[in-house]
Amino acid sequence: MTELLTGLALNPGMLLIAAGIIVALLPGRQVRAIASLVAVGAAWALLASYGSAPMEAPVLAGQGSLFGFELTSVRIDRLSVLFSTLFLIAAALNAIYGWLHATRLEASMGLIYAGAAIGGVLAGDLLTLFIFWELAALSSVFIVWGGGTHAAFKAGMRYLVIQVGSGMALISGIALMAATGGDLAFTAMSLTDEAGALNLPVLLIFIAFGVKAAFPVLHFWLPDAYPRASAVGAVMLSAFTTKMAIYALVRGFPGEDILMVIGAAMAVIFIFFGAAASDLRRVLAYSLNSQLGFMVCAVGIGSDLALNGAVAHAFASVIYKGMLFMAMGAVLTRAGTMRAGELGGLYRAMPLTAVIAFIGAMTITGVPFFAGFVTKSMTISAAGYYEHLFVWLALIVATVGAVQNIGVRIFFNTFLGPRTTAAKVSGDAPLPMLVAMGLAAAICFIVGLQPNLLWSMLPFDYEYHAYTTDHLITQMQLILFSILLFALAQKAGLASTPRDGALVDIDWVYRVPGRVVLMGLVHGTAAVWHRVWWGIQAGVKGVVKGLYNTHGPEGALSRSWPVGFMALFTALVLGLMLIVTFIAY
Amino acid sequence: MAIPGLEQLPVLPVVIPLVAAPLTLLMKPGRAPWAWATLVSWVTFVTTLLLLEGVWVNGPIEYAMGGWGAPDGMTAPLGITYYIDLANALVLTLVAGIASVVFPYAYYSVESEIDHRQTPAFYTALLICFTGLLGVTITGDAFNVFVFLEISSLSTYALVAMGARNDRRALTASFNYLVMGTIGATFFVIGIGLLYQATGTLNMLDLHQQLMGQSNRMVEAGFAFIITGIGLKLAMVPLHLWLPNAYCYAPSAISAFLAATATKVQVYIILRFMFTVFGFEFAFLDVALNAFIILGIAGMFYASFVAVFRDNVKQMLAYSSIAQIGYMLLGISFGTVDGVAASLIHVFNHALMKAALFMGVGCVVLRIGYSNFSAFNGLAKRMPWTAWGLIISGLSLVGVPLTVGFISKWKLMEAAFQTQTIIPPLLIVLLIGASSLLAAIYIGRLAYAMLLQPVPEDAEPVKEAPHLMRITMWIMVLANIWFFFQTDVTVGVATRAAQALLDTGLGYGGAY
Amino acid sequence: MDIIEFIVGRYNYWIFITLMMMGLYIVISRGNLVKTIVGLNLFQTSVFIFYISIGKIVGGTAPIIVGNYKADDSYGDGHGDGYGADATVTDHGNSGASENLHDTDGLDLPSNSLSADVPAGGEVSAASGSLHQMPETAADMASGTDAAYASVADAAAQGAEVIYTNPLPHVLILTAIVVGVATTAVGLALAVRIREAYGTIEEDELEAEDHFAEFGVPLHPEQGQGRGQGSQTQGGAA
Repeated sequence: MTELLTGLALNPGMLLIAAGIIVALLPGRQVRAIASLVAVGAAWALLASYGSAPMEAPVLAGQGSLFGFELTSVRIDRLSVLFSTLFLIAAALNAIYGWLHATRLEASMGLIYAGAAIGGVLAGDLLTLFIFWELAALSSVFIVWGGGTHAAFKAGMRYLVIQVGSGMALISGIALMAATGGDLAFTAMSLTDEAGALNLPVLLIFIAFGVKAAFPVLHFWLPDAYPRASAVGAVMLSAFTTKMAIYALVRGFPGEDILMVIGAAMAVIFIFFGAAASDLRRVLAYSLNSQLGFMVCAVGIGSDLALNGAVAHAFASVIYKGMLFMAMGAVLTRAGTMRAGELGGLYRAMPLTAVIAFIGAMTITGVPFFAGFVTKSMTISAAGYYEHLFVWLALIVATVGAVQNIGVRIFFNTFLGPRTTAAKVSGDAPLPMLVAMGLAAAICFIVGLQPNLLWSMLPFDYEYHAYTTDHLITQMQLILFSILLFALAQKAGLASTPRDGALVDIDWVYRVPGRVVLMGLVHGTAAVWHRVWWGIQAGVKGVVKGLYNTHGPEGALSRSWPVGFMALFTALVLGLMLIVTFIAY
Repeated sequence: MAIPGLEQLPVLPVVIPLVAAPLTLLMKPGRAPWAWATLVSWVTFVTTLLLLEGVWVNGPIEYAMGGWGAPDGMTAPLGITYYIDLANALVLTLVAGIASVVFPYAYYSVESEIDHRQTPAFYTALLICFTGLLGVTITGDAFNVFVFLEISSLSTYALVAMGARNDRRALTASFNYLVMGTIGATFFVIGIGLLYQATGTLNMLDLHQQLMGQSNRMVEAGFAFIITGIGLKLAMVPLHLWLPNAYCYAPSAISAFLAATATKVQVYIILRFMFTVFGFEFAFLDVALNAFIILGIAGMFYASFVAVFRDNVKQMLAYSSIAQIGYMLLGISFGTVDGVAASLIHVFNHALMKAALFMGVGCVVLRIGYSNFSAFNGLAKRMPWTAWGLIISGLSLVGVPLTVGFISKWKLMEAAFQTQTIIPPLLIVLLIGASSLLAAIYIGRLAYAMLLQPVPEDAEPVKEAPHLMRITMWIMVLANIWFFFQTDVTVGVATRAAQALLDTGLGYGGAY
Repeated sequence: MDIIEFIVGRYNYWIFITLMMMGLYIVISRGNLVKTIVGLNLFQTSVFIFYISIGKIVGGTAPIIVGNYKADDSYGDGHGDGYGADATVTDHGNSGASENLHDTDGLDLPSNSLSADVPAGGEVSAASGSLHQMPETAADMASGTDAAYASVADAAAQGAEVIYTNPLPHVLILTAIVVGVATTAVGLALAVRIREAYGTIEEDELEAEDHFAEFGVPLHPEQGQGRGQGSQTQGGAA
């Protein structure tokens, strides 16, 4: 008992979780924020005390046993250390960002959530991973609910179901693995065994990871829940769950071919969804989902370069996605709305936030000297080097899409463009928010300018130079092409002023020759998706209604019955029992 | 005996509360009966712990009441014997342990929910109910099971009816429970009669000996009657209709006590009869096991769905209990040591969770006055200890790691994968997972109400529940976490107990 | 003839089954709580007959030691485990006899064992099987009983070979009777309390009131609101 407990206590994640509980008891937002920062510092010190270790020879600590299974709560190698550090940075930024605005529940659950993510990343075996997997799911649902609206409650419920469902798939897979005598250590797994047959426990685990990594079809919780959280909550949500899943995929399924297809599909499809969304944070969520596609794709390629690329991109993505969510959160805090049609021309009122959003847009689109450039180019190069043409194409398309979604929708329309009534806001973002955003922007710059700092932490040794001529040219061509299109459209007066509605501001490209096909795709996928989604929703609603009719308080299956009916039922059951046993004889 | 001078130990858990009960009736209303009942429950708990330890170290204990043991040259005893192996020692300890926490808890709750003058009667009935549950568990005599079953049931009817001061529906609930419980007990006693007719014995182990090779209509009918009778008391799914109202309208302390003990004892009886008395050589056992799979799964889903839609938290928890009984039946239905062990582990763990949950609801009822969802809005601000206790034990119900619920679920899944049944193991495991999802929904709904709903504006300010209630509730909540780490007690004992149960089916006293 | 023998020979079991079904039917069909209790009581009583039937042996007497039995050698007389149903029987076939009876499949069991084992009087060897070894007809039975009494007296005189009825089921059923009485008492007490609280003991009216208390709408709208309002005030917490 004590063995397991002390074993878990050695995990820096547990430290944050304990701190989360303490923070819940502290009065005052700033006290809580300071306590959070102290906790993050302590966790970082604990993590640093383990040092680092190469991939081949991880340092293990915190062993304990749980009904006969040996658990390892801490496994230190370069992969886990990098992700833990990343999550600690994110937790610190979140604490600063929420200095004035995080509610008690958000501050506490945010720490627990970060701790669970770190614990999961450090877990050396599947059972420990599951423990933290589940904790991350449960703590984050409170953050979704922190949005405070009824829509947030319902989205949180859906989120809870799918996240706990992911945990169920994981634990089922682990149980099956244990039952068939498998080792529960968390190492690379294969979906098929030597004979080529499907490996069922691994498939279950794969599905569990897939849910959290928001694979297409399994993704709906992400754009559903994230935009409904509060300004602070959405920033927290954007950092951990999906990146934890990316870590799990890197660890568990490197080079699994199917991931390439899934990743490429993710990267492209969600661009279209993003273009069709009206809530700006939903646009960000879809864009996040598309960026995840890059990483999943890289994991699927599975070479050292690609895996490094996936990890590096995850690192950059947490920072710049967080930064964009922070910027949008600041806008939400000041303007009170996230609807694309109601926002515009905010740069006068919120100049610093506008700069941050601009840096975020630069980073995500992969402009040189920003983090996104160096990390994205790794994945794209890996795809190119290993001659996965379609993957390469998909990633290129996704890059263009990111320019459209983020550069145009998030940055241009919100901060430039004509001013709207909602844009008459009281001032720039509050200071703590600006500080958090500034720090994130600084990290983007540092990684972009000094990629070697990040390189040296990456799990695999691979000589890679981001700033080569062909990388620069490829990337710049893409970006310039996209910007040119936009500029042409502006010049021709084709760019629409943002209107309210589901498909605002995409009709400016509608009439641009050559883009008709693309926009057809946008509308097509959006329409098909909406149809499917409505269908699913209608189906679910129908089922729930049916269940309510039968199982609800007045339903036949749950009402109070008169005693005679009960007695009759008992007699019938007895008769049935008699018949059944007689037949058995 | 493990400890010299305690030769009469096995009889003490029944005798102590039985003798103490009538004395309670003579006491002055108020503190005295409560203190007395609490003291009795503690002493009893100590005796059961000693018994558990003795059985763990020295193997099963047989105790012949009044010295009517087996005469020379005969194997079967003449009188009633108590037969204690690990399975019932575990359940005994559980029942006494829950009582020793719930009885102290009851004080304020009872003071507010029950007429002051009735408190001696209340504690008398409670102690009698306690006696009955312990007696059912400890005895090795089939007819004695019936007697103790009725002792506990009759006092339970009275206890449930005492909720009438809060809500008169307690009366109808109790009445229905009485009619149904009596029908169940009568079926059970008919079954015992048939077995007696077939074998001429009532001792469980001897019954097994005599039944071997006797696969005839009478034994079959006996089996059907017994399983239906106990199934009714157990609230197995089609026979569960009495349970929700009885648990819902009973006084809070009684809900906590019954939910944590009564159905658990019935699960033990079903295990005892299926494996010790009948055993695997009867073809109908397989049929019954298959029926249990289907009934168990049906219960898991049906009751969970109802729980999701319930507006009264007590009723929601009652339906959740029915669903959890489905898990236990599922474990039994595997018919393996692992499955039965999983079932026993869940019996133990579920008692911990449900006791904590119902105790939490009891705190809310005490302070706010009712148990509808609206009473729970913003509870984390109004009664933080209670609210967080409810959340943690609710998470345990869902089966979240770091709580005992996870152990139950894991063991059940593991057992499922090692069994071949009419339903593919993977499907069973996924169904277990899906059912946990439903639990996540209704617990999530409760957590949302407590943490994120605003406190109603017109609500009067309330104090946190009294220290006594909070402490006892938190003992249960912490037990939910403690036993996650301390799996030796549950998993270790339950596995050996399951082994013993399945082994007794192989020969007289051939167990650990 | 065999069928008649089958039916008549087990007349006490038929009574048991009939009573049990009547009791259960009353519980199921009657809406009045007191009637439900009466039905329940009938249902329980039927079990008493069943148990008494198990223990009764034609010609058996009460388990009182007669003759030269030593007082201290008495551990079989009443606390027996079923084997010691009658002290003198050595070849003991309580289980065997019943097995014979029930072995034969289906309803067409005119039971050879039955007719074969018909006791000619109080013969010790045949007495072990309790009531099952019943004479073919009622008339025979009467004579058999007479003979049995004679033989008991006889045996008593000799101090040996007494046939005892198995007392254990009777003792058991004493306990069950106590339980039954207690159940009836609690049930009736509840009925009284329900009458006090609701003003009725008709189940459909109770149901309507509870329904109104829970949902705030009448179960059967045409019944009007009057009763419902009453329940609202008394309904308590909801």
